[in-house]
Amino acid sequence: MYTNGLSLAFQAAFEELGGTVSVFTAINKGDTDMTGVLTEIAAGSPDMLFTPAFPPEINFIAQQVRGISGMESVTLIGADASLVDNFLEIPEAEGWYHSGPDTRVGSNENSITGVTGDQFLEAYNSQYGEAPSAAFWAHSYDAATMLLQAIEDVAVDVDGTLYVDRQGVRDALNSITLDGIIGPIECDEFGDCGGKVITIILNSSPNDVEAAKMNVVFAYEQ
Amino acid sequence: MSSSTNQKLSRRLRLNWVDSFLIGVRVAAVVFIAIGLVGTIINFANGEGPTAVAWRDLVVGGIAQGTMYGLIALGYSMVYGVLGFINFAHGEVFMGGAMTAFFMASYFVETGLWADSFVIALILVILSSMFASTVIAVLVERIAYRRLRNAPRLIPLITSIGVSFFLQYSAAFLFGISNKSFPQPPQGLLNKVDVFGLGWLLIEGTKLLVIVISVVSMAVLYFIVERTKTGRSMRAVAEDKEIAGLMGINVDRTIVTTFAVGGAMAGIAGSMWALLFRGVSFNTGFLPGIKAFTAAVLGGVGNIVGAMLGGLLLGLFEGVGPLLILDGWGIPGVSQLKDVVAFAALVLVLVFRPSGLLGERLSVEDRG
Repeated sequence: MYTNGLSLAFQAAFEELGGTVSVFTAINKGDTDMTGVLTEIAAGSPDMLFTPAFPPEINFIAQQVRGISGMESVTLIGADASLVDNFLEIPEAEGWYHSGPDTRVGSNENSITGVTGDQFLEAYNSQYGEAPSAAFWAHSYDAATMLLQAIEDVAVDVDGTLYVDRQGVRDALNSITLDGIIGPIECDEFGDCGGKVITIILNSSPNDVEAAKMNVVFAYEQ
Repeated sequence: MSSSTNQKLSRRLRLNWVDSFLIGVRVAAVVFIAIGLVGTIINFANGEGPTAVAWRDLVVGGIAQGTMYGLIALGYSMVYGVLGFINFAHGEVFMGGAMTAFFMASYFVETGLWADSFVIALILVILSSMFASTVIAVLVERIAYRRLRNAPRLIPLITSIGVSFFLQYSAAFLFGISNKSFPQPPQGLLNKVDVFGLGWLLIEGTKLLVIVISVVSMAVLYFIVERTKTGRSMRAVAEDKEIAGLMGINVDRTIVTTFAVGGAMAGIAGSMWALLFRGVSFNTGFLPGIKAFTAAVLGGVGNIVGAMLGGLLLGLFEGVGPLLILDGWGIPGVSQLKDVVAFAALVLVLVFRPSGLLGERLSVEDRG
């Protein structure tokens, strides 16, 4: 459903700016042979392919797309689902564009815990042996610190039992302001808080994923 | 027509409403497929839809996928023929082979053997996958299934589901949940190869390699089962365990051999899968396992040639079906209905031929 929403939003925005969508199709989770769907797409003679798919399906798409006649020089764009090491490091990911949250957050420090983006990644790597498997790790970290801070602010200890007022936590969350790893965080009445920068990166170096993630070609600020 | 003529007619045909319904289903299926086909042919004649080259690639991709399903289906089919239950853990045996292939291939890339002598590296990778899968299959039989030999049929089935989860999440724990990238084969294989020098039959090198190795493995297995003494004892135990034991066949050892051979085939399929799709993770085996069992049923359970044929056909239906039949109806976004087409094909084959395409071979206890 996530990818469907992204695709529909992309289609709407693209058509509004004057583009035409030749094929709108989908794959199943667990598909490995992408020949069928890529053939279907090639039949529409596209200039560009936007696919918000997750790994491993997007890995298979990247590996097989250039082998389908008609798709040899199509521009390839992924979304934040593929903004992960798992996909960026394979050789076929070279030349892909990705839209996603601003990745230049390594030196930002979370004002509640004092941990920077780079320090968090190091700790994650040493505990789990691999990089975070989604692009929104910084958002998750900041959200977790906010939630814990709100609970701390609201919880009341009465004779050894900890009472946490649910509505109180919700209200506290809406009023917390902090500098997170993703940047300054302040929540409006819809619960949208910070992280307003979306960037497009171009992966020109699958063998150096960190550099690839920093190669921002366009930044969109709300 | 008078009512008495009607009654005589239905009495003669012995039709009740269930039979009429099933005939209706068969007719509806044939009509649906025919309209879809005609639609696709019209599109093709008008120059819309996939080109002839694209169809060729689809068919080749379907065959490559299908031969791998066939190899895995062999394990399901043989175990069902011998012991009468579906070994759900077989998908994870396949995944174990694929994981081993990944680790061996990564090691060879590091030592340089992958680049220097790809053939030797590939042979070693396939052998190590076969070994790992065989070991997993035999261990699972010994630890999980041997004690349940005389239990009601449902018990080993549920046990196999448990073993499947155990193996999947052990792999996740040991190797992490991320998708492992299998190294690329040398550039020559990624290009299209002109088979038989025909000029139009261009097949991607890796797919050709996968098809050839899979077909050779199936042929070797067929030879083992039909022509050797071990194969004869496997067939005897599959036919009737008790009598085979009275004839002097070591039933336990034969059952282990059955699991081992099925595991070896799954190991080959695992290394081929890793080579073709270049991605392995802990749940790589889940969906192919289910599809391979479907393929075994499609071809006739317990029937070795049936499993191979079923796998091939399932791969073809899956790859070519959506664009061939559904696109003719004008349905947009057809490729996500791949699984629908594949499983609908299973249902239709069973509707037309309930014991599978080549007939099932069950042991005496199951034949009822």
